Amino acid sequence: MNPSGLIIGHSRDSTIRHVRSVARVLGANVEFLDIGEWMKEGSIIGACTGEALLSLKEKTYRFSDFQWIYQRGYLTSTPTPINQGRLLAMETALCNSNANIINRPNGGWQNMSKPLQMFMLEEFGFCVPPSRSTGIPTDYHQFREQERDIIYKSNSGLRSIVDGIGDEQDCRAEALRYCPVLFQRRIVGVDVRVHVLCGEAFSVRAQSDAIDYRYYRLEGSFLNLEAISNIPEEIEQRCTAFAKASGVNLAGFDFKIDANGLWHCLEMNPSPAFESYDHVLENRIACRIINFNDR
Amino acid sequence: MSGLACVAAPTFSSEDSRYLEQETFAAWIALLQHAPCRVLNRPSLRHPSVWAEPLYTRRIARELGVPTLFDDLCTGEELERRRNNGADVACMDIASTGTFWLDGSHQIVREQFYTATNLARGTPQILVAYVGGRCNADPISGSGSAFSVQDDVIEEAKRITRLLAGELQLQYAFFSFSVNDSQAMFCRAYQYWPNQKASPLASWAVDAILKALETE
Repeated sequence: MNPSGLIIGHSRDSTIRHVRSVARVLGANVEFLDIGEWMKEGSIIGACTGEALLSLKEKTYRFSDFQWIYQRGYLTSTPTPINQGRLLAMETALCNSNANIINRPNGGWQNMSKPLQMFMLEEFGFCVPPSRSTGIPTDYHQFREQERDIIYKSNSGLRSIVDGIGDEQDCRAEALRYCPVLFQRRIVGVDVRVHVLCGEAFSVRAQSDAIDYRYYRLEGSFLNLEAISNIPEEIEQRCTAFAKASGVNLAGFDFKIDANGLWHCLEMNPSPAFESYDHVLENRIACRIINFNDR
Repeated sequence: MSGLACVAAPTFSSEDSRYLEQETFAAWIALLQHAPCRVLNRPSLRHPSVWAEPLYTRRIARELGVPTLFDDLCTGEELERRRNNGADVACMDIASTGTFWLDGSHQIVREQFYTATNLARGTPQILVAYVGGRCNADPISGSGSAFSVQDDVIEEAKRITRLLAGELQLQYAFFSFSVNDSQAMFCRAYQYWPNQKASPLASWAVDAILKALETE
């Protein structure tokens, strides 16, 4: 019997491990291709034809044999022409394939620039916090004066620990000349992560005393995650529409709900690490992936 | 957005420099999006046009039914085998998108990935400049000199250029085509002047850009 799905990713990636583990529990007939191993010694034929055939050791994988493919490919080591080229080869094969793929490479590409993505989210009707990306110290001081309570984060898709601004950071403003930083009004309130997958939304409320709840062990003392089902319909519809317009099936949206009940959208992640949310969602996202059929 | 001219400190490690590069690029493309003025090739939601690379644009072209170069992705080892068998076609290092002829002058890394196309040396080409809906074409022979191509082939190249520019949401780009059996085959799009030699097309593009920026 042909396997129903193919999972492509790193064997140590916790999201990949989660989806594989749920597949095992469900008894789903799913294959796994370790992209780390493939990038070392794998090969590929027909990457640009839509009928890619990948080989790793003695095993072959034909994309068209699978009902769906879930992929989380990225570099885990310093970029070199060889590993960048190999990742691009895999991405090319995925892009050219007619298979159901979660998510196609390049989908949600705008996440590589947070200020760009926020602008696009705002144009789509989302409420986004006032932000400034700058490399000029006086510009930073002006924004700080205007907004008072602000946070900082990376401009790019590289993961950074979001933190508040205090006197210490004010003193280091001259260092901005070396690299622009994204500053944003701090929205005080409850965090909500909304995952959308083919028109279905999976929402989780996160309560913590840390500014960046993902790092509550470093900066806070607790994190409570709770599945919620009553998010506003317009938020759900907007998330689904934005993900679709961005060319992704699975997306993770970060929101802050302020004291007035206003939903502020912070980001859309096109390759979300969703396992911690899925634990409180009783693995509904992973189950939905395993039963994925976009046709 | 402001102050993007970052200064790399000599003490930065290569890792820090890479971080700085990504942060600055992220801020830069956001600036292109936010600028309250006319921007040619403002980033779009769907296509990463700011770094549109050949494999990506050829795939988009194929999806639109446009005849394109054939891409055969292979390892350096396979490419060397083909070279030893006498193949001499245009190839590309997919990590750098640098193109070269498979004639022995380019060093091939066996573990690296390349694409071998079906573009043979000496094939006539057409370069089309596209600015704000207007096109101008320049046929060039495989050796770079002026070349005569049938008008209907040039018109077809222009039609494809408009189609692709619309799909990729580009207002300014150069599109190259090879001419195989009197048919224009899409090769790649450039968002910079791709030909080192002076050409009437370059000055036409400059005038058209100035006109497009003045009129809107």
